[in-house]
Amino acid sequence: MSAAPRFVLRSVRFRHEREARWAELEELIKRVETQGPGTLSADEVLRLPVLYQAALSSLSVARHLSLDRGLLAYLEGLCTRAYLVVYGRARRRHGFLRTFFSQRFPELVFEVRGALLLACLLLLAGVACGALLTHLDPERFYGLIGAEEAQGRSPESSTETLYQILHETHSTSELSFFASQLFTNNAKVAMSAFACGFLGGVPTVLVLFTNGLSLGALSAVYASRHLSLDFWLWILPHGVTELLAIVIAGASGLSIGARVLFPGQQSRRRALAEAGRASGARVMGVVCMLLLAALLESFFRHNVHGYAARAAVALGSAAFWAYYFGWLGSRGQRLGRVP
Amino acid sequence: MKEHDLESPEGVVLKLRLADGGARAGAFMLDYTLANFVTGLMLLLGGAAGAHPVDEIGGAEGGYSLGLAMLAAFLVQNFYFIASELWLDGQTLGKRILGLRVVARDGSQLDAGRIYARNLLRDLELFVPLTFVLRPDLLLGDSPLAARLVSLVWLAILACFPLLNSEGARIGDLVAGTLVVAVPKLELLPDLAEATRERHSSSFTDAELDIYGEHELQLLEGVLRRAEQGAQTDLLNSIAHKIQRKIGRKGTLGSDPEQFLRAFYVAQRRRLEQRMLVGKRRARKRRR
Repeated sequence: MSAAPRFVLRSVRFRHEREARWAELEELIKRVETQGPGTLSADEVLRLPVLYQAALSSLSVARHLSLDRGLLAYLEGLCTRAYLVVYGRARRRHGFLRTFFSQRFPELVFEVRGALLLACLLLLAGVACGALLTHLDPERFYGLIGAEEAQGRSPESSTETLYQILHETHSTSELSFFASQLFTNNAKVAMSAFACGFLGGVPTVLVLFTNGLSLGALSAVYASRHLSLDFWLWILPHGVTELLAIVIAGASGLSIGARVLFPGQQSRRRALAEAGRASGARVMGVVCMLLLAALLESFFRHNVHGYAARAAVALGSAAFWAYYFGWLGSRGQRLGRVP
Repeated sequence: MKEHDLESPEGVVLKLRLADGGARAGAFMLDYTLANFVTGLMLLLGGAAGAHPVDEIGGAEGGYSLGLAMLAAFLVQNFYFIASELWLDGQTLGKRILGLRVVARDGSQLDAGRIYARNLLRDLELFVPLTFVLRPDLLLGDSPLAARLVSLVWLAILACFPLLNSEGARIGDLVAGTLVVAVPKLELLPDLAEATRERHSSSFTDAELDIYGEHELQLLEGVLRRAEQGAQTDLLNSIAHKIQRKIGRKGTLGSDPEQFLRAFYVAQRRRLEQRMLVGKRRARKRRR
């Protein structure tokens, strides 16, 4: 008998040869998972990918060499966890926020400019319908806008009351509460417009249209008292931002819907996943826009009453967003970054 | 347990085990409770700091803190999931406790867009149907019966979506291209073949060893491992007899069925591994 250990099976010998490296990899993985990658020394960081590839190759070989179910299960688990450690980090780049706002968000919005136009048209159609219907029959106002949204304004309110609402003031603390209420409400609308896109875009269309209807109904009431200018100057300083945000969320929803219905060359699942990812990022930007709009709607609107100032902010914000999405958004295409 | 095949960049196919519905529901309950607990705490503090009861708004100085509290509450409730999945590489506290993890289906890196998308749809899948069931008047108002029925069916489909597809993916997962997998536990058990003495294993002929297949071998492995932890003499006896009858050998059992089974295990495994190397695999026993 030779002095060297005789292995009963080839697979047993294979395991003996490699066991030490697997144990080393296991120890490194567990350390990274519990304490983070910073705890590895420089040598260990260099060793990890080597061990990971060795484990993968062990797995491949074991699948063809060994019938030990315990071993195969262990190697599957080891390779999966090593894979997650090596490749599974969520992408968190340094300066992510800066890149997102200066580049990614405008480009993402520019990408769906077709859907954006459609969403805009839907909103405007809603406004036009709402205004027309209320103009022709003031009773319809109650059908088009809920009591909560109307907040005491109706075709029966006196011109005095309506004017007052446009020019009222509140204390700062009331305004901050108001702002957060607006923001949370609008953010929910935007997110539901996005979510509904999954269903082929039909609910998104409805959401945009019905929002337009209520706005149109209100505008008709004010128009009937010759307060149109006041009304629009009251709405637009924050409205430009807010409506644009909702339109973008709607466009995101529509783009998802379009991909569900017309996936082109890709499988539906794949097309949906890609559209969903881009839309998710867009809606995050939209939520930030709504935060801005909420601040304008509460603080600015109730403290500044002059026509000139309000008009300036309305036009200024329109110009800003046009620059932001139009110019910055198309920069990707112009620089050849985006096909 | 459902599996998903993922090809690593090195070309090796990894079999990821998908998380089962109960574990996912449990993790969600933990996370939701935590998020709401923090939210409730914030609203309470905000209301208290403003020296007004929480449901009295529009007061003089209470607005600031309450407004801030509402904002913070909204952010926590909606973005708790998003922030922790981003920060903890696809896990939240609840998922971590139950050993689950979010990964991208095609193995690419999780990025913010995916995580936002999968969480934003939770509203549609869970909270809208829940509101519909608990407070239908909030959603439907005075809609006619037909509309209610349609909404019910539609919401039922959305909520039960995980049951309708083979991977148990929510709509959020579908839209974002992600899956929730169970993080495997690592435990290397000693090799059974090694613990067996050499002398018994050569006493089986090739013909005898060509009857059973890999499936039976692995069942035997499971039984032997369990026997190591506790006596199972009756079971071992009956299996040993069955095998002896099948391979047509009688009388060499001796007093210890376990030793016989171990010897058989080693011999069978050697035979099957040899055949596997030349490409002849038998998954199950031959049916005569």
